[in-house]
Amino acid sequence: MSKKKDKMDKADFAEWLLHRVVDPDRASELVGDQLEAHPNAGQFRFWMSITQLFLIFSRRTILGIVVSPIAGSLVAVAFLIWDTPQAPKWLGGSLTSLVHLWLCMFAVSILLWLATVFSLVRFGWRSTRTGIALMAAVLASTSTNFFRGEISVVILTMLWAGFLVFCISSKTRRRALGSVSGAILAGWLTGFALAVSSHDPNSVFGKWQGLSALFLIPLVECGAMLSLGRKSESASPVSS
Amino acid sequence: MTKQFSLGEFEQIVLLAILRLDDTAYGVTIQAEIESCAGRKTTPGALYTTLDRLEQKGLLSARSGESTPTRGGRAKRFYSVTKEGRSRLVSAQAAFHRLLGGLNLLGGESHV
Repeated sequence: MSKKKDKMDKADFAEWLLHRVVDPDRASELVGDQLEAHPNAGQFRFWMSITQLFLIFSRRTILGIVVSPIAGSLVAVAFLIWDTPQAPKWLGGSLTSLVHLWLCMFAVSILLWLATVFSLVRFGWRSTRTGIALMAAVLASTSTNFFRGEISVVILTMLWAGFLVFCISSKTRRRALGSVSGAILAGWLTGFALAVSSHDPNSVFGKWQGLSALFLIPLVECGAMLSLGRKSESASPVSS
Repeated sequence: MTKQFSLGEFEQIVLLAILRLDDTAYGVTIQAEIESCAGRKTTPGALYTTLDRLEQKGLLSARSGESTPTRGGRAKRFYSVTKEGRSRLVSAQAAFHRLLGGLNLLGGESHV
């Protein structure tokens, strides 16, 4: 009885573990197959198979979490080759509210590029989430570059409005937008919490907060994107 | 001319094993069939990623099946080869046959 209960416990835990990287039905099927294939095998063989499956199905997620902060930041910075050093100058020369707004937009564009790269690695080109994140990232970076002058602001506002209309006109795109927005919000709140906990007057983050931000923000953002997007499109393990 | 992706060797083995198993093809039986017919031990990771890839390419279809006590009440996932899958398999095999045509690999009489 105890042995049977132990078997069920390990199977339930294995199913819970695989559910992190594949959909629930698939996790159940994979564990069922392992139980059936090695009914008399010991714990070691069972867990070797489960670990192998977990690593194979999560490889894109792990790769995405590692690659996205670097690639996302590089792309966001590359978009600012024109006027970045002059940005505070043309916005008034000091830390005015406009400069703060510009810094916020730049931070959002980094978070959006991070989401785009993660989605690209994790879900692929064809994913609606990748498309929505990419459009938003291009728009955010463009807004960061051309955030000056009334005409630019009007054009950018119109572009954002068009993007929002495009997103809400379809159920799939609405869900993808929700997933991307939730991820950006989660990343932003993590960064905000770290900035608040920092008491360094000379920079946004203190020493350990800066280091934590490098790992925590991408981790939270990617995690939010994964958990929020489960319903927005079928999370096929192939794309995992 | 439409661009067609080629089938890898293991993909062909998996498709053939599923065809041989007919209605009883699921993870465990496919693995066993490959081992008994091709003498090849497959890891779960290699098998399931191949099954997923073939399903994504539209060469396989899957349906949920019954559960058994040995599986802890967990459902099986049965696979079947689609028409497209059969067509691709035939094309891949025909290509091998064409390439082998006229070759005398073993030095004896050619049987191809």
